[in-house]
Amino acid sequence: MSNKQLNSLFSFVKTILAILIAMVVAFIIILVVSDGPAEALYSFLVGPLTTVRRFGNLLENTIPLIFVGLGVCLLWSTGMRTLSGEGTYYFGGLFAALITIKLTAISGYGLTLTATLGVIIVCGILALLPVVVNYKYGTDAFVVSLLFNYVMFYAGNYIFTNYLMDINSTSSGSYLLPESTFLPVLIPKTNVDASLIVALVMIILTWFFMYRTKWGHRIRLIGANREHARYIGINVFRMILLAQFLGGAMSGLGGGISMFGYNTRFAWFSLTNLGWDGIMVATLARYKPQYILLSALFLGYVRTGADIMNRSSDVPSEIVMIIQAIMILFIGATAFLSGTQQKLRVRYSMRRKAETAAKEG
Amino acid sequence: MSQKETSAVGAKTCPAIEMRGITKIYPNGVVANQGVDFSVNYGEIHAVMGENGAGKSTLMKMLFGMERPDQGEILFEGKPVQIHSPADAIALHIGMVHQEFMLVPSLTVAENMVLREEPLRGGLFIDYAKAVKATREISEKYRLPIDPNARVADLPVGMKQRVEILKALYRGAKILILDEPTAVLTPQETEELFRQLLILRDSGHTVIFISHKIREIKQICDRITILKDGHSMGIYQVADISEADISRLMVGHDVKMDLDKQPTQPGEVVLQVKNLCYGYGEGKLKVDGVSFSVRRGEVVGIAGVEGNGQRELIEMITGIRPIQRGSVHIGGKDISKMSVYQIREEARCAYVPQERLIFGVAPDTDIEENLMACLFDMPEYSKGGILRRKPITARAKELIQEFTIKCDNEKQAVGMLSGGNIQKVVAARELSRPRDLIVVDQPSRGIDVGATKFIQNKIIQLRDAGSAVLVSSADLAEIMALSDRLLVMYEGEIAAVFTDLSGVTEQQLGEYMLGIKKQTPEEIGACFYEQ
Repeated sequence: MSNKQLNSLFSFVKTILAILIAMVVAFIIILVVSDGPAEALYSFLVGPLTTVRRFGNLLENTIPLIFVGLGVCLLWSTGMRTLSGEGTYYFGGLFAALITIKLTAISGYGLTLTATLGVIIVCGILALLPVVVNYKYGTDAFVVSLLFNYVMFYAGNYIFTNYLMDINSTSSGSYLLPESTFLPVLIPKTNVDASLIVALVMIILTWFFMYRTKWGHRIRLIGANREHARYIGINVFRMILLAQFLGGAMSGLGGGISMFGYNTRFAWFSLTNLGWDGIMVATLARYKPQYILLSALFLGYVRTGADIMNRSSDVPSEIVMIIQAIMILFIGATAFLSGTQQKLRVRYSMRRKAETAAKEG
Repeated sequence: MSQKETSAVGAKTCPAIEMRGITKIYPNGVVANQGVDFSVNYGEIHAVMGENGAGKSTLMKMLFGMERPDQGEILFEGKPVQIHSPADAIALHIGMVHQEFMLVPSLTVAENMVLREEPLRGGLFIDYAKAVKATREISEKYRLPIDPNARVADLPVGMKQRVEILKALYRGAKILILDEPTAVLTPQETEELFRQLLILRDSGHTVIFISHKIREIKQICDRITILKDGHSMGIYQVADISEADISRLMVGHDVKMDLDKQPTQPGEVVLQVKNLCYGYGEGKLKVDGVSFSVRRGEVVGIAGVEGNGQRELIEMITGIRPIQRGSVHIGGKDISKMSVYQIREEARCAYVPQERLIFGVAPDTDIEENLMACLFDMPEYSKGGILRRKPITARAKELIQEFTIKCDNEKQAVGMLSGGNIQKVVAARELSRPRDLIVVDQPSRGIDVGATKFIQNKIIQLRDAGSAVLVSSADLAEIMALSDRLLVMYEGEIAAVFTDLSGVTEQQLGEYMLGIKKQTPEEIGACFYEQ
């Protein structure tokens, strides 16, 4: 086994172990706090698969996680850790609502497409700002992107209250989104619509972009060694801009697409927190687009299960937060299992050296 | 050659420090040390020698508690010990002077001396007078004079090093590790250091002296441990081993610089550097008004002690550093407004950098990507931005064969390879395409003889094929073998120009490199040609 294989094996084992440990802790908590732990556990573990509606919920929870997870893969690919996913997801939703409600000249899927394009461009550009400020003035991109999320939110909130809020409606929210723009529903009796297909296509596209195009290669090279990338002649800043644009556009698309059927009105009164979820999904997938589906499904499943448990037993759904926290703690912990890994590494290296020596001598 | 276990100066029978069967493997899989045995006695100067990457620094870091060995044990005066941190090492009276000084420049010598063990007044305030007194005492005790009130930032390098040594002694060091102490010193400062080390030895201290300068080791060391590829090649009495034997043990076979190099007729000027300057905003310019040209079909060498502006000069020529004043023309084009990409692709310049692992490669990515990274714009290797994987892999395999890169396959991570093979990856990428200008900084730093020879021959081949070549090297034998013309840099200026190298000796070059002599402006102007 080469060192590379050893490293990937350990990152896989560590992820699985982190998940297991988190689940075990969750089970223990359920056993302790619940009066009917068997029932609670059943609805948590199996609940999402018991009815079509619940299965639909699982997929509905998964779709946005895919978009934001891919968004973080792109945003972080050059080593620039920005948090633009949060703000762009919100703004994507708002901007899609704004266009579909206010642009009355067109309707139907033409309007859907226009709104989508608008969201991609606007959110892509919004995500550029933190790195441009970083480049021009040396301000920390992480901090600026974090703060800029609030700028996006309050600007969006202004647009919402002044142009979109339906004051005649009993439910507080925007005017009704035009039904002609809604995507076709894939599974009857659920809200699972064609955005699932878009999400799956995006996974493939992102993977293809990152691993099969020269731009993706350059972006990854910057992430691997920025000085080397500069020396090779890559325009580092331009490539960082590209990665940020695509990452912002991907999150924005996630927010926007949820306005084409899943929501009947725009009714977000705060940031959605999905930007942070994206970081979790991407971390779980080790920042590799090809694993985003698995990690988003897992997180979606746990959350759906927790919701069902919340409704059908006495265990609150906040248990998910504990699971997530423990998972991330162990996945992020570099020292976790590093001793075992080093032991194996030493053993393999020794064996390899002996083999080479035997071959040569 | 006999391997002796007795100490040259006959101190205690039990070694002061013994390391047995030490193995260290870094997380990237590189085996830095394997089964290394090492031992030093009190009252000796013990050399640790080996090429870069042979594992000298790793071994010493483990002794000083900065790294943990994966296998093996460390014995202090015969008893097994665990050294988890530098604090543990200091408690065992082990001190280390690093290549990069660990001093606070804005504080005085006395303040630096007592850091972490400050004498206090009223339990809260530093008793500065006491610190000064302690510094005086220790400096007198070891006959290493120093002004306790001088600011460290104002001291010359040799003095800073002395502060480091005194600091280690102040903390009670009996065993002193010096990591390539002479690399930064002038010959005079080196002599002074050696005098100090002999005093320390005679007072019963142990000095572990890391170096790759054979002459210095011959001069002051009692015993020597030679490392090669992470293995120990044995411990020897310096008096019993010849310089030729040392170098043979270090590199595996005899070092000979036989380059098959015919004289050539240089063509038109490719690189023209005119009055080039670079400064870090300090008093003195790092590159100060340098002018020279390199013509097609010739190798121009830059010799000099490191840190005399060679690196900055080369990085300006290759576009890594902005040009502050003066101009660089490649093939008649002014490069000051060009991007690195334009310099590489339009001005057709190749560049083998000094810092392999920082600029030369991305260690965690695979060999194929590193070999092909700058070819992805070519229609052979990408179409509409989409990479054509088969031709890329095929070409990478060709390059691995042509440059005899030793690896499992083209998908292996570059960082896993040995220094020489990493350098070959860089060379394969940079030197496999026809280029007008080839810039090579330290072609053979820390790589094995086979790879060195291969790269040097490649440089001569490319010269014969009509490229203009600029080489900078701190290795005098190498630069003299490679160059058709030679510039010597001292303190950012060209101190000497040799248009004919026959009859020039290393000693002569040395005088210019150390600033003892300088040629007249007319002589130095001999290396500049109008285009």
